[in-house]
This record gives sequence, structure tokens and C-alpha cells, in this order.
Amino acid sequence: MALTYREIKPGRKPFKRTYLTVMLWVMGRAVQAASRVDREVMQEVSELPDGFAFALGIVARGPHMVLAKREDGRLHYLGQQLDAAESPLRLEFKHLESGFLTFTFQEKTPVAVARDRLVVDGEAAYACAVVRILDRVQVYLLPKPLAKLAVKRYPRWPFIMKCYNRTRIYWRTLLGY
Amino acid sequence: MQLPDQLEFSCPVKLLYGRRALEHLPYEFGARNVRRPLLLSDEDAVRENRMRALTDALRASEIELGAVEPPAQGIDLDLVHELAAIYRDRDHDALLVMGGGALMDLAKLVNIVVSTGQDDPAGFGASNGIAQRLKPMALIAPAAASGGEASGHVKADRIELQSIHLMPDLAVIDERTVGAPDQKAVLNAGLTALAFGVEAMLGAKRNPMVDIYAANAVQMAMAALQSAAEMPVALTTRMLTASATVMAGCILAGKAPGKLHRLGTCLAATGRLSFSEALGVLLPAAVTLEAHKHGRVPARLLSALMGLERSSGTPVGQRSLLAATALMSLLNDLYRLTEGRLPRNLRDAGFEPDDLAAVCAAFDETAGDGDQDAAMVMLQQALDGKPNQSGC
Repeated sequence: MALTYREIKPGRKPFKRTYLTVMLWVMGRAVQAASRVDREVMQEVSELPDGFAFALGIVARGPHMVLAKREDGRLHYLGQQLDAAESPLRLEFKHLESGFLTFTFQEKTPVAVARDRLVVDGEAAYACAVVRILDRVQVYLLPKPLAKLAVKRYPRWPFIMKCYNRTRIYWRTLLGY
Repeated sequence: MQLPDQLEFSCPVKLLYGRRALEHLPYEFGARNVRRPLLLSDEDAVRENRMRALTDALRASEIELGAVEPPAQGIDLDLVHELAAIYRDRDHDALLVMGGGALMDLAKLVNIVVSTGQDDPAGFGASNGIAQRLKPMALIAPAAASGGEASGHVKADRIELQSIHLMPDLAVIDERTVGAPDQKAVLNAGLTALAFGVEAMLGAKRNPMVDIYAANAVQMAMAALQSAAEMPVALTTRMLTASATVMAGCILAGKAPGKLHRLGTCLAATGRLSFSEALGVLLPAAVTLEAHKHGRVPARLLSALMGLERSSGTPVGQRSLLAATALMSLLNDLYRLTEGRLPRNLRDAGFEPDDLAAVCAAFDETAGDGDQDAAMVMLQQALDGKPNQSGC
């Protein structure tokens, strides 16, 4: 009996890719904004080395957000191309689907880590600092029910401080400064 | 804990288990520089549309697949050469197997041919004749497995090989591809994993690393066998069975099979019962025999079979009896559950006392290590499922 051979080209996931591209763009600009607004984030950033850069995204040719610490001691959003910064610390989801699960809040970041969906290429201590920054930014960006799905523990912050910083971060994210 | 003077343990299999485990595949392939794997799938995978989950997991990656569904009937060298030709002509760089049993054996043989360039895999000799690493191979493990998929063993037609290099690099157990086999297939797979695990824990070559794998395989297999009563078989049971069989394969690795395994093969060769049924029927006898040989069975085996609480409350002298009893009562439960389709002893499978000598002679031919006395003791005990207290 002759064997039947088939070529399978698995195809793309344009919707999920676009969604993640938009989310990472918003997130990148929000982190940049938070590094100018929130004291804790400023403190974390000040402890990172000068010229430090990191990228969060999907492995291979997936979307990314790239940020770097500049001379002014703040984080700057450099765009979505990995080559925007020189050898950044990379936090990458192994698969577009894994990133989609996390960014649609079906799976918390710590759960994604526990399920081995994330890989870190770089110094683990800096990666922990970046995760702490991202957690705070998510709490600012998302309404409480969604943020609870995204972070391990929802923090108790003074209501006025949270609203004030959140407004400033939203505003700065929109304008990109 | 007493450590042996010298031990060896190797397990090159990376296990990817759980929800959306298939999505890890593109990353793992990337790490191994694989771009075009050749997929071999069996009829069940095609019928249950498991390919869809795989192609979905590979979407948005750089991986391109070539797919072939080899015929279900036996493996012959012509088929191996035909698949090897497809692999080479279509520029593939790895093998991906969706299915178990003979399909995995076929994939291992194809891998030998494409990796070494030798047309006849039998030329490598039975034991550890393959000196080089082979092409990357990934297994998408089904619940209805034969137990040897993740091992370094291959047996087909006149070829029988063992090598650590025959073990797959990756074993994926995903809820979408574990399949929905019938109850008996799941029970058979569970019995095989249980037998491989128990034999490893009793064997002379046991060491702390093997014990860890074996104890887990036994625990998983016991849990799967005890919960396989539900119909249709629950997803968690199928996942447990698939994991247990992969772990059982890792225990076996590239080592020569033990006495239980070889005797089970000889019993299965009579055609009256399957390999897994033969292993199941022989298990209590194997435990009793080892207990008489060494004076006791390891505490860890009893805790894997019956739980830590019951194991710790059992005096050392009663462990072997209790372990054998646990296995016998499991077989009785499975017999009742399957309405007699899974035998409790050799009589249930149609054996008579006169048949045992022929099986024993066949065992002696394959082993040639003077173990036929022990084999006869095991067969006699398995005939009625009656514990042989004297051990001889």
C-alpha cells in the first residue's frame, strides 16, 4: 500500500497577534509613565544599572515591548523591535497562545511561570525587579476585578493615591511621555 | 538510606505535561534546531481528529509538518525504508509521533536508518549497539500506550534493539491529544506501567533514581487502574495512564528487560492473552518470589501500592504478603469490572498446568540465564493466582 504524504503549513493567528501587539504597546508606554509617577517603581528603576534594557514579548518573531533605563534614571519605551536595545533582558512567552492566556487574564503571571510558559534570558534578579514593576503597572492600568486575575496579590493602596497616580499614568500613556 | 557502590541512571526524555502542553512544542523544537518534523500518526489519532490540536499548537510558529499515516498492520523493513526515503527526500529534520505501540517502534527504526545511514537496523546488535545520537524525536503520548514508547527498546519482526539513543527527546501529554480509548485499552496500559514500575523496584539494578521514577509510575498506575471504572474513562484517568506509561518507559530506558518482562513476552507469544495481561497475572507471583529471595520487599513499593499510612503501619515481615495481596485484589476487581475480559490468573486465559512447560522452555530460550526454575515457580503461582509461600 502506497503511503500518502501531506504537507501541513499550520498558518498564523492574526487576531491574537494583533491583540498582543496592542496590549504590549499600551503596557510599554504605561511602564514608561509609571517610572515617572509611582514612587515604588521609581525606586525599583533606580536600583537597576544604567543602560539596563528589557523586553517582554513572545519568542521568535512575536510582538515585544522594549524599554531601557536612560541617563535621567527613568525607563523609556523604545518600541516593539528587539534590536531597539542592545542585548536586553528578555522575558518571553514560549508561545503566542501562552501570551494570549496571560494578557486576556485567563492565567495569572505566576501561574504562567509555574506552568513553564515563560523563559527569562538574562539576570534573574533583574527579571524579578521587572516583574514587580509590571505587577504595579497592571494594578494601575486595570480595574480591580481584572487586576486581581492578573497579579498574585492585589495590594491595598490609599484610594486617593491610586486614583491620582492612575489618572496620571493613563494620561501619560496616551500622550507617550 | 543505603546507596549502592556504583549506579548509573540516564533519562534523556523531557516530559511536557498538562493543559496546553502541546504549545511548548514549537519552543522545544526551536531549541533543537528543528524546522520540519515528519509526523507519523495512527488511525486513532486521525479518527479522533487529534491532528487539529497539534496544528493549532504549531500555528504562529516557524514549524512546517509533513504527515504520513503508516498502515496499522505489522512493521516490515520495506515500510521503514519507504518512510526513511520520505524523510530524506522531503528534507525533514526530526520525527514526531502521535500514537503508541507499533507506531513508535516504527518511528525508532526509521530514526536509526535516517540518522546512521545503515539500511538494516538489525546490524546494530541487540544491546547498546547504537553509539551515536539519533535525530530528534518527539512523542505525543496517548493513553492507550504499550508502555515501551518512551523506552530505549524496539521490537519488530526479527529486530530487537536496546539503546538509550532510541528514547524520544520529548514526550508530550496534553489533554487534547491523549485520546479517548476504550476502558480495556486504558487498563492494559495501566497494568503495563504498574508491572514495569514494580519490577524496577524489585530488581537487582534498582537505585535511588530508578526508585523515584518507579514509585511514581506505580502510584500513577494504581490510581489510574482504580479509577478506570467510570465510563467513559475520565480525562484525569487517561492523563494519569499516559504519564505512568511514559515514566515506565523511562525506567526501562535502554536496559535489558527483567525476568517478569521476558516471561510476560513468552506468555503473550502463545496468543491467549496480551502482553499487559500477562504482566498483570504474573505480578503477584513476581513480588512473592522476590520477597522470598531477599527476605522482604522495599517499603517504598508497599507505600506506592497502598499508600504511606497503610505501609508505615505494616510490620516488615508482612510487607511482601500485603503487596502481593494488594495486586491480587486489584486483578480481582479488574476482572469483575471488565466482566471477565481481564484475566485474574492463567486459568482465566485458558491455560492448563500442562501448558506451562512449553512457556518455560520458550523463556529459557530467550533468556538462557538459568532462571527457568524461578520462571516455573512464577507460572505455577500465576496459574491459579495462589500465593506460593515457600517460594520454590
